[in-house]
Amino acid sequence: MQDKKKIYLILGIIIIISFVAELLFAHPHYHMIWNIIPGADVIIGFLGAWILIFIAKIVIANLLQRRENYYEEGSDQDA
Amino acid sequence: MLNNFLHPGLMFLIVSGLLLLVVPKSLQKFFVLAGPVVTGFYVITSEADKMSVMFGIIFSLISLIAGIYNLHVKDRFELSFEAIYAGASICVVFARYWIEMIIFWEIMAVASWLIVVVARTKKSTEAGFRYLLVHMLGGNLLLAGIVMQLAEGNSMIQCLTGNFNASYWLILAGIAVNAAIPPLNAWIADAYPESTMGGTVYMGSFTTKVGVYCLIRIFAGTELLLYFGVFMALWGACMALIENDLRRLFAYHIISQVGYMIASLAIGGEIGIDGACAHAFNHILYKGTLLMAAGAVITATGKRKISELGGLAKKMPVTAYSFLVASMAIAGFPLLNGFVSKSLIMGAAAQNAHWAEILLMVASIGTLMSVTLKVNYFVFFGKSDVHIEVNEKNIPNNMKVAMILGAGACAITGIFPNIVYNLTPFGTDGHPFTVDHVTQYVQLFAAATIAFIMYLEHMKPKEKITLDTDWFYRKPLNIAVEGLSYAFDSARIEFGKMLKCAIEQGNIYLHNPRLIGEKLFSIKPPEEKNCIEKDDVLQNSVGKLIGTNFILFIVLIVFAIIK
Repeated sequence: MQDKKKIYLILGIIIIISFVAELLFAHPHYHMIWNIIPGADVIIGFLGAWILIFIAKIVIANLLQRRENYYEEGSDQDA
Repeated sequence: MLNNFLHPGLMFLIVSGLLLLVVPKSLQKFFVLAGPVVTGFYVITSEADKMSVMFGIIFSLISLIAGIYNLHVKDRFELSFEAIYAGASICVVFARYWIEMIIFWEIMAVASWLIVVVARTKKSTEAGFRYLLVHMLGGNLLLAGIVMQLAEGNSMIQCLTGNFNASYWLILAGIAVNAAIPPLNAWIADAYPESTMGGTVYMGSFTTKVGVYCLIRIFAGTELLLYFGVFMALWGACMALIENDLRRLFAYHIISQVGYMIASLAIGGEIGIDGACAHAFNHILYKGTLLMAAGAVITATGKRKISELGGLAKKMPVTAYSFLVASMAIAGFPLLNGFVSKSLIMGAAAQNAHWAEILLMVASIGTLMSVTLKVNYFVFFGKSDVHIEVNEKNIPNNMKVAMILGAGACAITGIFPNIVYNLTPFGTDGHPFTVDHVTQYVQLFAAATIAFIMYLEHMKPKEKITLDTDWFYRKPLNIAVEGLSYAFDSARIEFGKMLKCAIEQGNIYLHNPRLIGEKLFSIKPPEEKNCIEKDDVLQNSVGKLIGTNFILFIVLIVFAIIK
């Protein structure tokens, strides 16, 4: 738990530094909303990660995951 | 001068591939390394266009690194098949005529199938069979499309974008098999993990990249491919996120990374094509390193499931740190080569397909979570609950040297991006180290890492397999084929029985026609006798006459109906 807090702290500092750097020095080449607003990538990163976790660990895992010998069962019976 | 007559890949094929089958074992190592070196030199001095040269250089380089990784291998067949496969791949990227392309394409398919089955396990044989079936299907589709091109008088390979005729779709479908475009993607995760350790490195580098090369050459700018590319980038990352088998995980990452390349070539233009080429180049380096490290882990521990591994960084430092560098490169960390080529792809998407840009950013997060964070934490650097016996003596020095070379190449091409940019067909400079590029990736990755750590307890993969599109030909198609085979076999047996019974029964009546009366009209014969009266010559002849007349009658009726 302590390790996690340390990592959160370090990542928080990295995000703040990059945010300040973006605010002061960045000159976006493109002009979509996520290119212009400083720190938009933090939101995309955080939300995108949770969306992928939900799709992979909840949706795909429940729909498509099977026991490990799923394909071998039939062939073993044949043998 | 020689370049005009001989393919660079053919040199490889002959020097390394065929000679390896016959040279004494003491010379094997020399020929394993001589092929890529000679071919590399030959490629650099060739007069082919920049794209062929770029792919030729990276194919030669990875063959050299994979050759070093394989120096301890004694099996001459494995080494030979790998060299033939690499040579045929280089031949495809240097092909100018359709006919050249299809010949080397098929050699590539057969050689790669042999690389799978040369592992000599039950699983590798079965997976190899499925691999061959899928690739023969792809090869035949491509062949049909090429025959149509030849029939139209087009012997040279040319861009077909916009010609929506039958030939276009057949060639696209044939190449889509090699590029693992869904739903034709499952063979990667099925076959690659069953090959030998070195074989997987070769396979991860060639088949899909040759597919990407052909898509760039023939279908650049095809909008339809953009949807497939973006889907592949996301789908591969999601599947890798839940995958437990180390090499299957990387197989899904090949799909994800090839998705980036396909999206980029589909956007087209100079930046899109350069992005696809640069990403293919870089991907071969970091994916090769990842697969080499995975092979080293499996060699040292005898285990391939992430759930059975953990805490290996202290026991296998060279493997762990080579893997760390390559895993950061694949995600797109600044100063590593993935970042360099993704800058081009993101630039192409930002100019022409905004929705694709944001989805490819999300796919990068998937790569970060499923490789950089998940594998590094659960296999190398995290705390392990289980005791794992690591036999590092199983990893010879040549394997370590190859991993260090691979990781070093990822770093060098990441720190000096112009090495890659100058090789691309149009020489586009991605300007990767601008503040907005760097801060974009730093913010994306830092935020995604926070989400990953929040869910860390549930991120460990379960001991399960994930179904893919191979399910369709491994389950329902298998059941359908078995069912049809059983039905036809049963019908054949039953029909045989019926025919035999009919002949036997008919024979009784033909020998003694009076029995018909007894059977139909319950007319009892004057005395009980056997059905067949062998001594009654007259009855026997009459029976045959009736039978012959009956057959003649049927024949006449049929003849009359036909007339």
